[in-house]
Amino acid sequence: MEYFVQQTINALSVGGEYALLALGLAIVFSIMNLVNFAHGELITLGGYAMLFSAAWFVSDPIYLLPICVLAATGAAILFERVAFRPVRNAPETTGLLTAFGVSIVVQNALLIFVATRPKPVPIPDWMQGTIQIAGLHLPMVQVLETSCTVVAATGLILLLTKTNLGLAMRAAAKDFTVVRLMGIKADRVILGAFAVSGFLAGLAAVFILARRGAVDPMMGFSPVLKAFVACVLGGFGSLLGAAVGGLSLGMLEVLLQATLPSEVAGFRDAIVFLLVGAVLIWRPTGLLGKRVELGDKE
Amino acid sequence: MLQLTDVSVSYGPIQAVRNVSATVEQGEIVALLGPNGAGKTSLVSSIVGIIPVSSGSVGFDGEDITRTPVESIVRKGLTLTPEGRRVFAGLSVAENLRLGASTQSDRAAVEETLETYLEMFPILRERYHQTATTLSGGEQQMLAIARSLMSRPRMLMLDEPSLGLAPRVVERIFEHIVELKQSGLTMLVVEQNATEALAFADRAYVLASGKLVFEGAASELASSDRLMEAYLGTGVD
Ligand SMILES: Nc1ncnc2c1ncn2[C@@H]1O[C@H](COP(=O)(O)OP(=O)(O)O)[C@@H](O)[C@H]1O
Ligand SMILES: [Mg+2]
Repeated sequence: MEYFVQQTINALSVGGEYALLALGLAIVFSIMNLVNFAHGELITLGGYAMLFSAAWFVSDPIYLLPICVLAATGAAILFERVAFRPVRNAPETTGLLTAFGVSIVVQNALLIFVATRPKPVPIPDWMQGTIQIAGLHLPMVQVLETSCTVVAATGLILLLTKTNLGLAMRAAAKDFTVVRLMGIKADRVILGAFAVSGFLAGLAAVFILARRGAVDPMMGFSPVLKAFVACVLGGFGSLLGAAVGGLSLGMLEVLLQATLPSEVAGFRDAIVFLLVGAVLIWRPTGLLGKRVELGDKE
Repeated sequence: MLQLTDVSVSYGPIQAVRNVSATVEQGEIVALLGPNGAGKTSLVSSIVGIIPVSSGSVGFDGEDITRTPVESIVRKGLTLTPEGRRVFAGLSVAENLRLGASTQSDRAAVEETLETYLEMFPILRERYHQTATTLSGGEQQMLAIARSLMSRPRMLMLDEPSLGLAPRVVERIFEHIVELKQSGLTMLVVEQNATEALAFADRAYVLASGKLVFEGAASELASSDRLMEAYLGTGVD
């Protein structure tokens, strides 16, 4: 029983983490048709912000957590302002190349100016321990991450349905030109999308760092890949699809981790991708994606 | 109110609109006619800033808006109900209308405007919480027009409001256009239904292959079989 609950909370926390990342990728994509492959670097920069803050002025590691979220949000806004805005009206491939460019620039800047090797980041002790709930010992990180995902998802739904900016973001995902025709400033909507995506990445980064305990310049690669796969699995462009795709992917990973015999456990990721591939043969547009004819806007 | 001087619009090497000069005066309905592919949509889209004007200038209320971004043009009181309606699918009628009021900060005024147009288009009140996609073509057109009106424009451009609608529904839409004119709204109406449009328009421009080939009183064009035949191919039924 305890094992089962532990694995469930583990699956939910990993799934939740992928869902946060996939949602960030999807919200920018739905509005700008841009797959922001520099999304992983938001996590990296959140991590380095923790590293530098700890070295310079922050003594209690608890303050590093909001710093990580703020840094990732700020970095997303900065990426938009500096890199993506100038190519906003360029063909989609230009945006994609810009994203790769941003990613490479950030990685190399960190390699050159900081260090090539992983550096430890202080994490509050209580995050590393376990918490006792109804007589069960559960890892604190996983319980916190699951709860944070639920709160963040609820907040996102409220933002999208109850605020004017959220409404404009949903409308912009359908037809950006007409949103501008309503007198809504394109810059504000896009900035909003990047800020939300950075915030969600920063939140995920807190937990990624709590697990790894260290930063390195390449640490954003695996998360952005997982987020991308989650989006494809759920149906690219759909926010619900991103959430469902992220949850399914994370839970599948944990399920395989727990059940695979040790000889093949090393092939876990390969098996996961194989299964994702099988789903896409069955449903080429993803779990929740709608079939779109070429040239359709809807 | 609106002043076009030598406006041209290009898509790469293709020139869709060539040196068009035209005016719309306060309180008028002006019809912009012409066959499919004549450049009507390109012209109104460039006026409102959705696509760039490649040469020439656009003035609104004596102010140059040639390079003004679309958001700012709408805030100055000039807007467009685009061809094909383009209501936000998946969003409710209420949300579509709320988006239309984005430029308005006075909540009480927004409520008042909303009430005015729900009165004018009762079907929108009936369908208020339904998603826009469940509406019929005619209802979507009414929603698109009401959404444009939520920004309280002083001038409205309508791009083929009758497109794909049954004759009975077209008649209803045109009645609403007349009603709006009586309320003092200035309009530029793009139409392929030339005969019907000329019945309510004050003046007309005819565009063919991107060039203006006729400008004058709507009645002058409507009463001349020769002109109708020459420009619109609809003179003798
Ligand atoms: N996005 C575009 N890219 C290239 N050519 C276009 C585009 N939109 C319209 N055109 C061309 O411009 C011309 C005018 O089109 P349009 O303004 O839509 O005419 P109308 O509204 O009178 O039917 C047509 O020849 C059309 O093929
Ligand atoms: Mg047209």
